[in-house]
This record gives sequence, C-alpha cells and structure tokens, in this order.
Amino acid sequence: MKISKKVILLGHYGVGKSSLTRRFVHRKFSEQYSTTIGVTIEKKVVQLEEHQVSMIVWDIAGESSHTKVPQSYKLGAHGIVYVIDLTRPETYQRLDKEIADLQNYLPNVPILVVGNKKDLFTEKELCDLLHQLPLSPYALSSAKTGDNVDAMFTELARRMV
Amino acid sequence: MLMNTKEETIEKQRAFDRLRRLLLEDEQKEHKELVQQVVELREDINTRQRLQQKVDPIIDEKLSYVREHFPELFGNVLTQAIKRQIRESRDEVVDALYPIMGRLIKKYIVVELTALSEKIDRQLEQAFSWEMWLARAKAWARGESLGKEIIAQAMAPAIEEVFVIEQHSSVLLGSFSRQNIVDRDMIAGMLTAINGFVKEAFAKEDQHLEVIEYETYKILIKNFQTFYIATTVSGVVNAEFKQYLDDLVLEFVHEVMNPTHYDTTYQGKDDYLSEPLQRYFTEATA
Repeated sequence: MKISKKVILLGHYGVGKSSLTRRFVHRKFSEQYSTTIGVTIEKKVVQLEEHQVSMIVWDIAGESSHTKVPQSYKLGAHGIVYVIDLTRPETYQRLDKEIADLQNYLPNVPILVVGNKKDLFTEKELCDLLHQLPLSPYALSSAKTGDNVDAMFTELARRMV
Repeated sequence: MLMNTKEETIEKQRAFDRLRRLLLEDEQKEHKELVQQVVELREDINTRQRLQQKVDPIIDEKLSYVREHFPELFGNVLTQAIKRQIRESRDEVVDALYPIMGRLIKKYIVVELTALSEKIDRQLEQAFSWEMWLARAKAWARGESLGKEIIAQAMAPAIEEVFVIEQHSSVLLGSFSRQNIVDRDMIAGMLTAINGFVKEAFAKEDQHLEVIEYETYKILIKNFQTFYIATTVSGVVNAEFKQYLDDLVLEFVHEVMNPTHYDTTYQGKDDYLSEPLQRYFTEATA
C-alpha cells in the first residue's frame, strides 16, 4: 500500500539538515554551505516490507529553537528528524528541553535525534562525545560519507506507518 | 746635431711601439675577437632565418605556456574588460540583440494574434447568432463592452488541474490533470508551504491564500477544515467562471468529501478520488 507522510527536519542553522536531505534524496554531497531560505520540499519513496512510503521531506531553515520555526511548517508532520552538529556544542546544549517541547507540541509523532558530521571524529572521540550529550541520539551520521543516512530515514518511515 | 736628434726620436718611437705591442698584445687579441662576435651578432639579428632559429623555440615555449594558463593569466582581466565594455556600450549591446529578440517576440505575437484573430473571426461570424445576442446582453448587464466580452469568450477559462490536499501535512489526497505533471506530491507540498508562509508572514492565522497567478494561469484555492482544493485555470477568469467553479467545488466537497461518506470509504486508498475528480471536473475543461 502506498502512503504519503510529511517529515520535517529541525535543528540549528548549519548542522547539515539540507546536506542530509540531499544525500538521502539525490545521493549527493557538497562542501559548499548554502543557507535554506524558508523551507525546501523534497520527496523520496521508501519501500518497506508491506508499505511504500512517499516521504515529503520539509527541510526547514535552521533556528536555535523550534519555537522560532513557523507553526504551519510543523503542523501535520508525521515524523521529525532533529539534527545536531557534533562539532558545535551550542547545537545540542538544550537538546533535552527542545525534544520535550516538541513531544508536547506534536504528541505521538516519532522524533529521531541525529548527530551529524561524525566523519570529523575518531571512534574514541565519538565515544567520549556521546557521554556529553544531554540525550542519546538515535544515530550518528555523516551526510558527507552517507553513513547512517538511509538507515535513519528508513527507520523513521517504519515508525510513521 | 739636428740629425742625431731625429734619429733618437725615431728610435724612441720604435721602442715605444715595441713596448706597446708587448703590453697590449692580449687586449688587442680580445678586441679582435669581440669585433668578430659583434659582426656575427649583427648578422644573426639582421638575417631573418638565423634570428628565427634562435628565437622561435623561446617564443613557442612561451606561447604554449600562455595557451595552457590563459584562464588564470587573463581570465579576470578579460571578464572585467567584457563587463566594462558591456556596461559602457549598453546601447550597442541592445542594438545587437534587438533584431534577434525582436524577431522572436514578433514571431510569438504574430502566432498569438493569429490565433486570437481566428477566434474573434469565428465569433464575428456568429454576430447575429443567438449566442452573440446573449453576449451582448451579458456585456450590457455587466456594464462592459461587447469587445471585452468577445475577448473573454475567445480566451475561455479552462480547468487544467485539480489538487485535493490535506491541510498542514500537505499530503495529496487526490488529483486530476489534463497534462502529465512531473510530481504532484511535490506540488502539493510547495502549495502548502506557500500557504503557510503567507499566513506566517502576514500574521493572519484566520485568513487563507486564495489565488496564485503565473503567466496566463491562475491557481484558485478553496480552503476547508481539514483539506483545501487548488484548481489551476488557464484563460481569462471572470466573476462568472469563479462563481461556477465555487459551485462545482462545493458540490464536489458535499458529495464526495462529506466526512461521513469520505471517512468510511476512503480508508487510505490512494486513487479513491480519481474517478469523482474526473467526473466532476472534466466537463469544466476546454
């Protein structure tokens, strides 16, 4: 059965939301940073065992808190990817509060926290870093290498159906 | 006495010459060689063939370097020069492009005018027909000219596409189209995002975007509680057509999207709305 789901990407500016989307949808990565203005809509069909999930990905411009994101962009979301930048502590310092707020704002909507730019760390550094995060992320990803990108979106598709 | 003095002078001169020969022998030899070299050099310079033999390899090497590195060496300078030239010679650039652009525009206008003229001719042929009297009556009732009414009829509005989209989530519930649209889900997403943006930008929560215009098309949006219907229309959209479309959309919603009926029969079937959309909106297309 084919179903459509709205997925929103939230997080501070420059954490890699657009890069993750581009990697997931177009299998591409660019070192050049370009700011998202407002929102960019992308679509990707994920094939699960019983369902074909058409994911309408809303790549929303970065904000330091989800409360600054226009409500109409968040309303009706079936799934959320909250992206943090592992190299910038300010992007995850208030992570626990942000996620609690979001769960309150959009109850029963699955949220996956993703620590991006893992390619910039060694395994040992990543282990140390995980202890400093206020919340344990669902996955550590790299839009550059593609590590864990498909797996994370597929897991979200699974949780949304 | 005088004779002795002269001989002495000659003898001194000889001695001096001998001494000079002894002292300057090496310098004289070098001088001769230098003179010889200058003569050869002059021949090298003045004889084209010999000069070419010497200079050509150096020039060739330089030329090939310049050819290989032209963009780095002169790219910026050339770009700046061209930009400056265009800026300073705007009139000349316009003059150069005008014939090409002019021809294209002229061709386009001629095609469009021919099409319009043919339509108006057909209308005029029916000048004394019942339809024309009706057009006159319509124009009179609206207080508009008959010409305007004829043009409106010539460019009659037609429904090109209809999208039924869930509010907020942007999920496409159903669609109908006369053309092959690349990705309807993306269109539904973008329309919802634009709608959301307008609401946020103008802080009008209880108001909705109703029309988007692009070129000769209009997207007319009708909002409902849980979904909205976006209809793309080509041609001249007048008040009468708007009224007609409103009625059509309301009838469709009442009959098909009725919550009791819709919720019990839809149940996630992605082509559920295809048939009713086709049935309701095909007649309204040109």
